[in-house]
Amino acid sequence: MTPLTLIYYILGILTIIGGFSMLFAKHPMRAALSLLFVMFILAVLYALLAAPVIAVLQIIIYSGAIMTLIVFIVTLLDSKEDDLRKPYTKCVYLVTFLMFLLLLVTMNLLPPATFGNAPMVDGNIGALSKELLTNYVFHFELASVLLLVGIIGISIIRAGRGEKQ
Amino acid sequence: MIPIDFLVMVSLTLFLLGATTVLVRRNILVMLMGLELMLNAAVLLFIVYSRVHANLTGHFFALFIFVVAAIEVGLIIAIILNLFKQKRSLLTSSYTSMKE
Repeated sequence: MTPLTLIYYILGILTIIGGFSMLFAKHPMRAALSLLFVMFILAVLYALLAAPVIAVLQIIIYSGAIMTLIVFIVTLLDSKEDDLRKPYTKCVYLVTFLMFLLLLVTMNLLPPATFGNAPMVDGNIGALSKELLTNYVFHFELASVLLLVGIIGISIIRAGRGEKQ
Repeated sequence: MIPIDFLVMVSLTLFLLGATTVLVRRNILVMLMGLELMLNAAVLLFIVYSRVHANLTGHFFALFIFVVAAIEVGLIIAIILNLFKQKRSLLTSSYTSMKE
């Protein structure tokens, strides 16, 4: 086991710990901070997996934009005391048991321990953007249209169409 | 050396943790965080196999997942703000009027 492999193991275990702490956190703010932790560790994993652009975008978009929005909304809509006392629904044990069962089944379906050592792919911004603006240009335009439609949708939902103040 | 099976396991566990969070928690905001965790688990799987097969396609999937996640969070938060205006509560149990 090389030191790099050990780093992969440590980072993987840290993300799982972060996920569990999100599931068990009583207050939504704690859950949001655990999710932020998971996202940062995942960004480090992407950087190690030869995807530096995706790692930077993960920090900018997920940790920067999305999590800021979620933390802002958690502070804006303050949870009441009695909401925090019972954070789980009634079917919590059944769902947890079923998910654990699913995890065990899929673990047995996975192929046996494999260690890949493929040649490094060139995942830097130049190669990525060249490919994005030649082979994937239609998808790129579709994504921009989707963003535009999303912005219009959000403003319509919040402004209340035809609603007089 | 990349421990592929371990990283696939991590992705699987994160996805199931996110799904459990969506199914088990009562707070809408925490359910939204569970959705985000599921999307992140999918991105991790794409990046791992992109590295293993030395192919850039997984990176583009990750990019488009980021776009979709950004729009999704914006829309969900707009809907949550509208819901909160009606009932002043974030619990899913407050929004069961369709059952009656």
